[in-house]
Amino acid sequence: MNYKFCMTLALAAALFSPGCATKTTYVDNDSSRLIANVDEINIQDFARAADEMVQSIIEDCISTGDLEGVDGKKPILAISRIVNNTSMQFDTDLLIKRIRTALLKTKKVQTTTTLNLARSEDPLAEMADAEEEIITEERMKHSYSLSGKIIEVTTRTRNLRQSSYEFQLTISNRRGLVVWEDIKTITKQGKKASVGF
Amino acid sequence: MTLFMTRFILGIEIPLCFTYTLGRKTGVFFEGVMKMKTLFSTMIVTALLAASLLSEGCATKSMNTVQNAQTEGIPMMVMDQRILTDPSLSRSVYIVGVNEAYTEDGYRKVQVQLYNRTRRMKAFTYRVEWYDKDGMLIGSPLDHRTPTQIEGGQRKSIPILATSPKAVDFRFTFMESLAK
Repeated sequence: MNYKFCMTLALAAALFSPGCATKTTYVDNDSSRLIANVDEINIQDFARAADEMVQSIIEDCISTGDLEGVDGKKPILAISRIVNNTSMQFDTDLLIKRIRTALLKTKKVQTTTTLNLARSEDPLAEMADAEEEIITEERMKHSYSLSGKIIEVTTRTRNLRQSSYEFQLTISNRRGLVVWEDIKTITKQGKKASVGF
Repeated sequence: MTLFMTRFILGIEIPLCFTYTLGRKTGVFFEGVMKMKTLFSTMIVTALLAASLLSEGCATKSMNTVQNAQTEGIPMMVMDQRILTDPSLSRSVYIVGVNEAYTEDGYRKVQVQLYNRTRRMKAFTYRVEWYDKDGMLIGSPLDHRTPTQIEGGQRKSIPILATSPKAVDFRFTFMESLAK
């Protein structure tokens, strides 16, 4: 009896000790201790793809002065359709918002919340813009539009899975001529999700 | 004897702690104190280690390279300051140097040149931080660590463009991959 009691107590102590408790901890967004999944696009993948795309846009397009606005004004970049062709469901703003934020910070491009393919991002600004259009009889026009597609390619061996996510983005002018285009691919291999990469 | 054979089979990539243990045991063996049972267990451990290291997953494959002998591009090298806390990583991910360039509009671009001095592939992550003229870190929603690999004997260049016009200084950090 005494032996059983001691064993139960030891087992309980081991199970409820701090070492075994599953704690929730905060992790920096730029940490390598984030969770990485083979068959998902993780938050760090969106940040990486957006970062590489922004570097490419700045180097090939903004820095060379290829993006020109009307009457010497800053070029206005509108967001067109971003197609999610993966098996996952996610908000494409995880990619696009990062790109837009970084481009706006360059002070070389103007982005907009009202000129969107779908519904306006800011309805109040859209109403004010409509009023302004009636007063000035001048409609705000975008100079360039950003479109793209995210594609998934998966393959597997007997005990290993591989997923490639291809981010394809294009900036076109009003006539549909492509002024910038790039592709970034992120490939992941593994069996299951892991903490840390 | 066992220690010598192990080194001969495995090359120079023997973990230090194992070498120490094995050496101590070998010394004991030559002194005539080690029993037969201990010798067999040492041999089994050695065989298992050799098998695991020589298996397909850990096979050492080194990269051969060819390039034009007289390179036309002249890299503008940057005087750098290094803080090395992981000697193992700095052997595999040896920083040859850092060169820089500027875009037409004045954005700073730096490129770290790496060289894997071992014969083994190394997975690691890197990140670059940008600082403004006042030495303040420029935060961005694009901040992330990039996972990458370098093959044995490979030379690898990592070019990074500052996405902020305010960026004047940089700091690269390298870390061994946490993925097992």
